[in-house]
Amino acid sequence: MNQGSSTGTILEIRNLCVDYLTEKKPVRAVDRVNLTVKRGETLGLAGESGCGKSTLAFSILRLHKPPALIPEGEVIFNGEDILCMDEERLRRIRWNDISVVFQSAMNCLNPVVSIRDQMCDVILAHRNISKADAVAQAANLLERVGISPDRMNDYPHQFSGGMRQRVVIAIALALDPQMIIMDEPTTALDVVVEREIMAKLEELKHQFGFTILLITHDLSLLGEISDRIAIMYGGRIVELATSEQVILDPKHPYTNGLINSFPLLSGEKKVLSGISGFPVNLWDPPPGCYFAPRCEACMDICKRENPPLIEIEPGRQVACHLFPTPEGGAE
Amino acid sequence: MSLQPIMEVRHLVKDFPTKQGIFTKQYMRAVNDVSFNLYPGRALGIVGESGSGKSTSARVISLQYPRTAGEILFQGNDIATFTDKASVMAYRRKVQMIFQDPYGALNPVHTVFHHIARPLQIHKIVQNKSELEDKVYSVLEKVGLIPVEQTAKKYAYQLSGGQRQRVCIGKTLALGTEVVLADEPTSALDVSIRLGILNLMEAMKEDFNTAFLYITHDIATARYFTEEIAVMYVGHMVETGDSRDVTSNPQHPYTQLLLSAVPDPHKRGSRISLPEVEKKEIPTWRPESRGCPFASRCPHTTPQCREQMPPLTKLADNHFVRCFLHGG
Repeated sequence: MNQGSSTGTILEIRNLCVDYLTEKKPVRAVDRVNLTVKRGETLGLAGESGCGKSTLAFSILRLHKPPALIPEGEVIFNGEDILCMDEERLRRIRWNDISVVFQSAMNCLNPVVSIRDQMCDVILAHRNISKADAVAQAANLLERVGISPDRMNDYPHQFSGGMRQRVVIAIALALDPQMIIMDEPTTALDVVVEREIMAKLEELKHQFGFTILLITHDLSLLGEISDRIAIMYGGRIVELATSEQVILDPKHPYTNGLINSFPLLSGEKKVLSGISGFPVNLWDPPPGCYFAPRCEACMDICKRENPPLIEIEPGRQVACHLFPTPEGGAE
Repeated sequence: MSLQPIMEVRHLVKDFPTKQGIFTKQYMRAVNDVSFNLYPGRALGIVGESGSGKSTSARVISLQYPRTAGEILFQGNDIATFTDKASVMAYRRKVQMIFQDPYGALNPVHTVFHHIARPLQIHKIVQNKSELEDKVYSVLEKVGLIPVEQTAKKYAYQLSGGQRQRVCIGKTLALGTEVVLADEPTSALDVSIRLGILNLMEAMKEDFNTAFLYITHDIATARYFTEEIAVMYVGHMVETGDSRDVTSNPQHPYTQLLLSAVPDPHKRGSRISLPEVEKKEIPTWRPESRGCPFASRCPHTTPQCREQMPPLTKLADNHFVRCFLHGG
């Protein structure tokens, strides 16, 4: 297999746009996103509802459905553009190389098919092995996610929500993928169960060495488990840095606002202000920076020009006029 | 505390039938021996996982479910004595619930104006149309839905989640509600919107002396908004106290587990795994169940824990725990 670039990049999203076609005009849900995922890392993608994070996740594997449409961009996986692949090649990549765990995935299990058969279905569709081997493999996978293989013949309703989510993760891992995209994998679960699943995922990651793209609105969770965090607002990436940098020293005013929206469990109780105003309406976006109407540091240029995502120090990107390009490009 | 409680809940029990045969009936006990007080201008947070009985308690208080045993006193009167329509109406006006899903709580075919005006008409709070309009607009202003005339004409689908929750809160304000039972009012909302709602409810405590029962699984927002926290596990109140004490100095092993599970970005990498807690399923409590509800998962379980329910032990002035590790 083509191992792609030697820099340790597994997935490179270049200039990706996703539009939703509506009767009046297209609405741009993902706007010229550039994002590089390094092999073996956990990259967190955070933002509020409607910021385009799930749309981005869907479009990576071309799982988007009309009226969504990708007018431009590239998604390079191991040197190949997923957006240009034929259906058969794409089918092989899905699940085999990149698997996806969707939001409330635990409700995606077929209620009338046993866990064993659902897992074997996946394995047999992609691997040329006997049914008995597939069953053995499924048992092995269940054991890895902490579910007794004795329960293989049970149906989804016989499992709790947390266990179903672990089954879904086991299915996502069934073909030993290089990368897993997870969209709010623990949002519907209680904190204790969430913690169990995240700990299990961390352990499996060490074992198998896959890459995780974790999409969630929960910045505290990302701060704890991901290596780098990308923040999205209005379909654009506004900040990308290591978790420590994002949590302890956020640069973009939106990131700062998000972090100040979480009441903490320790320290003094103080009144938090959060972010005033409402998320950007993509039907009718402002001309400049999308965050300008809510931003306390808003300047004149912010209302006119959209700040590009620039590197302010190695590995750290921000799209904000507070941080002009080193060459003095902005003015 | 010198304050007079507006609502007193004493030893509340609620059973639901699970299996019904011709001769046998089986019950699950959703709420067992729960007691708490609500005070004007203060908030009590009930924190716990799904199925811990938090919502059931609120629904019993708001007369949606009959209770199995225990007492609920509102301004000193047992609500079981409210049998005639007039006193039930008066009680409902004073004690209102707001829900997790503001999308489901509003009727899609009616405007915001209707949603605020309707309870005012039902409870005959206003005399004529102009008074009604004034009242609705002033409520919308109080909950931050401005410009009021424009917002009043909107339908639910034209509002964001946070705005919808403000309409629901506005309904309680319009009625002059004294006790608000808020069942996960912010968990369906985005993080930046969540704070706006919490701060609005905080203002209601100060401006209108409203008492809140704040039900949540998010112990961090409970610490932010409430004066007191009660931690529930499988229908039992396992620890109660000042919200700062409970969060900074948890004494019950379950509270400790819950707190350690909350993601904290400042403790990165230091503790991805949970303290040694048996990863067992949460038990179903039945009227005949014995022992401590947490015994099956607790790292400190003794034979006594499996046989007897620990009593509620006083640790400090306003800090109680139900665990044999602390006296009993």
